[in-house]
Amino acid sequence: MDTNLFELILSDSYIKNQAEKRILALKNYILGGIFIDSKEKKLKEAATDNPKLDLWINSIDKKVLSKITPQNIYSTFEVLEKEIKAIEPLILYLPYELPDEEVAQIGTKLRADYGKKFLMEITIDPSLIAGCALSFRGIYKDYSVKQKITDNKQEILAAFRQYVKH
Amino acid sequence: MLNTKPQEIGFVKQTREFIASVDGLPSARINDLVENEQGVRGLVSALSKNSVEIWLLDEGNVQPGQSFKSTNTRLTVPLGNFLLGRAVNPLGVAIDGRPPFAKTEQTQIAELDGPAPGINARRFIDRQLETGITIVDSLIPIGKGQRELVLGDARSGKQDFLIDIIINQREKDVICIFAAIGKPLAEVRNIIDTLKFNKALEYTVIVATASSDPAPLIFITPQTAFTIAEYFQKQGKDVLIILDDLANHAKIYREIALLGSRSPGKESYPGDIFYQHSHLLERAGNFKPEAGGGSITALPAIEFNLNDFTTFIPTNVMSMTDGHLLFKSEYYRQGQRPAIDLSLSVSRVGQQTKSNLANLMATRVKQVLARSAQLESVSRFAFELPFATQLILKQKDMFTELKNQAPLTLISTQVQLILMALPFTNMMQDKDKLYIRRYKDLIVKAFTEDVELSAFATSILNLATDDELINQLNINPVMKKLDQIMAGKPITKKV
Repeated sequence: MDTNLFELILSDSYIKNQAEKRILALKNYILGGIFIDSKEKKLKEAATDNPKLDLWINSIDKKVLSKITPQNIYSTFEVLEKEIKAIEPLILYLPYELPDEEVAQIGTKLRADYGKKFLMEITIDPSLIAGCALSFRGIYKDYSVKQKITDNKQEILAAFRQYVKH
Repeated sequence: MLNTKPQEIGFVKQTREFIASVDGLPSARINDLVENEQGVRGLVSALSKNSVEIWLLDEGNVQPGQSFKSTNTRLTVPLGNFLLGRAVNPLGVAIDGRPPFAKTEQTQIAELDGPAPGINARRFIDRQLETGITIVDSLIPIGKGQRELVLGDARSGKQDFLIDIIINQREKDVICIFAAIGKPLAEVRNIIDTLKFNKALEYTVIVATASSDPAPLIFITPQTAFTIAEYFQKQGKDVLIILDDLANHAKIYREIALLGSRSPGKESYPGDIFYQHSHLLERAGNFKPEAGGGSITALPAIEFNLNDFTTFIPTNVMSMTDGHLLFKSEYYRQGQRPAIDLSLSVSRVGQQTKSNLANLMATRVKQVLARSAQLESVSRFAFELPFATQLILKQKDMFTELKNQAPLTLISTQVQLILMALPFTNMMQDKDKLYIRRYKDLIVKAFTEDVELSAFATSILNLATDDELINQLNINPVMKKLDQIMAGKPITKKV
């Protein structure tokens, strides 16, 4: 496997879905470059509708891309896809969408603790109210306010009854 | 650090109808219960290297990517005396339109798929289950704790027969459980109404699934029925459980197994179909006080094509039961009720539950029937038969009339014995089957309701042999009362 390319894909991509999209976008970009017009190398032109992805593709070192040839493109990307698929992500349930900077902050911290290949999946679930829930390798932990309310339902109801009495 | 209890979670990878393959749930066990966000419950049915197979017990739109969380419980059903008189689904939810069950401290919970008690917990079957139906009680008796298969083709009266048995258990202190496995809703409603009308619902529990319910829910119906039966049996009660029908149950299991990519075996049934029925029926029996006392008598029913008697499921279940009653639609169409073919029906355990008198009487009747079968073919070629031959053929005709019993009628054991003995008495020498057809109901009524005749009927239970009984019927002055009643005298009813 081309380690440089793999690290490139994972470089500032902390979400598994994002990593998969990057691989697909890069693959289509290179295939387009090979098969659309071999004489006119359109490396600088945008290959996707996503400006972020375009920006990322344009920032890639051409030396890295030049290693991918028509003979090895399919095998290279097959291995990359398999590697990404094999990574078990940490699923984060959040009540609202986080800005990219905060996602990057969380991702960096997790990678510092658990390794460079660590990826997440983010699911938005407003019913959590606040806090978050985590799921990793089949174990689910709920730190949300919703779960707290559920766990302490009887105490909360008792408190309300007291309040209503007074 | 926030203190929160971890749960196990799995994500749906693939769904096929009511089966979902889930990735995750690391410590799931077979028969664990899981639930998704929409409240759809699933039963863990298989564990493979990379996934967990779940049967969906509720209707719901389950998509790949959805999550199922472990509930840390196994599939259970709530138990209590509140179940009597109610119809429930296999998860213990009331389906009869009446108020749901209130959970109290008295509510017990039991797992559905418990193991069958071992040999040490069982005792000899020595008590008869009185069905109130002459042909069964006298010639093919069923013992309490026995498993007797009821099989036959469509429209042969099997269900009416089973409902009659339930109705005839009134005031006999027997709890009845009827498992309707994948029946049409209208049929289930009809069963509930019939039992209610005949005041049989108060000691009956109905566990029902409609044909429109998810297949896994239909599959667990007999397990729920047996769990409920075991609850009452452990209280020392005698329980009668009817499974209608196991052929449908086998077909549902076949459907689930084929969808779950299990390798098909004979007739495309999965390889463990025998085990599914045998470990269920093994939960029936007669139990020692240490195991709760009481008994569970199982009457599994199977509908099949009589032209192909040796299909897989009927032969399987025949080998795991203690006898079978074969119903024929041909007899049903001829007006015979119940439409049991006596020559092809057997009860391997019932004889030991009857008294010596009853056994001797049954043997005598069977001898006449067997002899008449031989003589009938000869009789076609003779112009004038000897008196003895004519008598045997006449007795056989009388028995054919006597064993006919209208639905929803109950004949007590002593009256059944008298009916079986009547064709051998002097009184019937010059009578024929038309006399029996005309006066049978009156004879039964006389021996049940008349003061003198009913006392006489009760007294015959103390007799030792069939000869003594026939002798008593010939010489006892009380029999003159019967002649008078036949002649039109009103019955002197018990006060």
